Amino acid sequence: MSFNRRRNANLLPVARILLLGTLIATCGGGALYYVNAKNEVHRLGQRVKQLEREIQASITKDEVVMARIAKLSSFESLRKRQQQEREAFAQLIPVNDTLVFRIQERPRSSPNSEVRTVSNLQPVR
Amino acid sequence: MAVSSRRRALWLGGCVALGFTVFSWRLVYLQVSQHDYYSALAMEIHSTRQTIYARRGSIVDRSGVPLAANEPVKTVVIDATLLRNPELGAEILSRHLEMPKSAVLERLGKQVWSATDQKMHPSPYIVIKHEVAEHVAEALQKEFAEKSQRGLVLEQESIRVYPNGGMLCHVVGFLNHEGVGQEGVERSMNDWLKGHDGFRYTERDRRGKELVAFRRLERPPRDGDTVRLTVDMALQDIVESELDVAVKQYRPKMATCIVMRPATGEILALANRPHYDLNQRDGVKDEVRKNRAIMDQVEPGSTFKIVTTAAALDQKLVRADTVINCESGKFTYGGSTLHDHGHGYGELSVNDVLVKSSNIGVAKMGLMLKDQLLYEYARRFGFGERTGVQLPGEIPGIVHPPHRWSKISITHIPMGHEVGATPMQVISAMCTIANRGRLMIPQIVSSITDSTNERTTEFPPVEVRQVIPSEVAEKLVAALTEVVSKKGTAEKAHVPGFLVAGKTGTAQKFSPSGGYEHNKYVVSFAGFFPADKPELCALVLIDDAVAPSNLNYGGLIAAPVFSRIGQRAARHLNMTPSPELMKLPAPLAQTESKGRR
Repeated sequence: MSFNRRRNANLLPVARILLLGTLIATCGGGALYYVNAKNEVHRLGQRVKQLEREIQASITKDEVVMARIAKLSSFESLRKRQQQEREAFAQLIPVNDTLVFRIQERPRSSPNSEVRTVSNLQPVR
Repeated sequence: MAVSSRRRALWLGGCVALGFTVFSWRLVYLQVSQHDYYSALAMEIHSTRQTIYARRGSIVDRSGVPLAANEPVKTVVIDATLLRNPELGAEILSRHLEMPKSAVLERLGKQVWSATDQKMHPSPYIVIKHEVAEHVAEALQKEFAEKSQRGLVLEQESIRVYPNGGMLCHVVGFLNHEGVGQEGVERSMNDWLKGHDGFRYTERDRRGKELVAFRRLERPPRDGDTVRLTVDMALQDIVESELDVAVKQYRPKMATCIVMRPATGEILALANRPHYDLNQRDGVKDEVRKNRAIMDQVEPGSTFKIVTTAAALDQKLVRADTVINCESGKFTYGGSTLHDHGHGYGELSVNDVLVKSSNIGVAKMGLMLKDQLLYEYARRFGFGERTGVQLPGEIPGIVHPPHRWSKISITHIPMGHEVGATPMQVISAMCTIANRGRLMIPQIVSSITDSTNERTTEFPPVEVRQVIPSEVAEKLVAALTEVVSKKGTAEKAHVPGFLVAGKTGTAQKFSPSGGYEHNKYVVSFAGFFPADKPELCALVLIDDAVAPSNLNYGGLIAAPVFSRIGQRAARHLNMTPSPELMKLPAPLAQTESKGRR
């Protein structure tokens, strides 16, 4: 009789503890996950910002280079260079009309449109 | 005692409950009743509207050569509250930015009044220099970091650059300080070029740092479109260099050259002198910035004779071979005497009136036409109205209606006097003849492409009207071809290998005080080639050339410039010359012979 009474008095509410523990663990885990997720969102936000900066820097560099190419290849710049090269060893010499040979008639293709070599009409042995 | 203790416990409990009730009520009041107010306030403090600026579109020539582009630059700003050693900071800044150290130090010393602690503080925002090149800014930032200096802020900016400097300056135009097109295509196409700024609503923490995760409504910017012009920069280079040669030789007050494709009205080149560098506009006078091709009017002189002749032929009042008595060079009408050049001419055919540029011949054609018809044809050829070219500031010119004409107007207007025309109107009229009677709107913009290269808006050629039948235009072409021959006034406009048609013009300059100025002329040549199938039409107009009176003629000054441009343009455009037309000598700029108007 006394054995049974002692057993009843020391009985641990295991199920309740487990339930409570599970609830606390779930809530705690959820809260931690939420905090982690929030941190992750912020971290990704920073990463997005950094990538945006990198893209912007690339675009800026690209634009700087494009502007420089445009400037160096402009007619104004080429004209200046031509001016400089007039006194240099390698000069640009204008081609006069007397030096231009114009072909008035195009060579006709043969009726059966056979492919011919341009310079050597003799068969190659 | 027990009662007393219980009562005290009850009192305490009651007070605590009351306290909680009050706080709870306050909480409910703030969170529920005042929710909208406080959430709006929080939004106002933490949320900002960030503008995302659109990039301005570029301007390119017909083959994609950039004429106006953007160059990223930085504005160097210093937060003096963070600057540890102003002396060292000023030394670094002055070296990189090429500014005197004293000037930098003076700026760094700027202070602002703080209302919170009622005293002066170093300014957190001091602009040191605008438009600093990227590589300079990069080097500056590096040195600041190396020497452990803080407070350097580099703000991103963009400036408009014109790689070709002064070339095509009157067409391309420029922006004002607010980035709005001020002149040229920059102005007329501003709505396409500017794009649309985007925006983003974002939240910031209490230190002002953006919380990217809480970005909300966002609209990306739409960058400006690329405007493609009809201009061919290689041809423009040819025109500008030849115009420079002419300007050097004759030192005129101004000069204009326009090259067009008659069939479509596309402007392939347009140059004015004087001109200016688009990248260095400070101190440039309005007169120099003026696009004289569309904003200046001159009396067209003999080039206008094509209008009178076309009208007379179209109205069948004359035929090409009808003989007109040119009164041996002296003809009096309404108390005013007209003269032809030299000793004048006896009887000339209508063709020869144009070839010899007889004033009396065209005056008589004007008399045959009468006021109303002459006026109508002038208007049909586009004089007295804007051509419609996509450039700002075009003027309509002046063609007075007949009721405002004087008694002698009917003999003066046929030879291009009493008419105010822009160079663009003159070349449009010549293109009409080249185009067998069809007047086209001159075009400077070929297409517009959006920043993603997905959508392109083309500007197809626009025909205004059929001014004269093609048969009449053919007759005029035949006559104008003879103008560019040994018997005509513009032998020097000859382009070896091509049949050229055109008309010279020499008009005495109108004096602001009334009448005409002595020995001051506006000389011009408008022509096209090949005459049978015109590919190019060009006008060379030189105002007040410094030349002896007997050499100051369109045929001697403007025609050789046309010829040189024509030769180089034909080679550039790969036009095939006719061998039988190659034999004529190339024209020279100087001549001893006496010219004809």
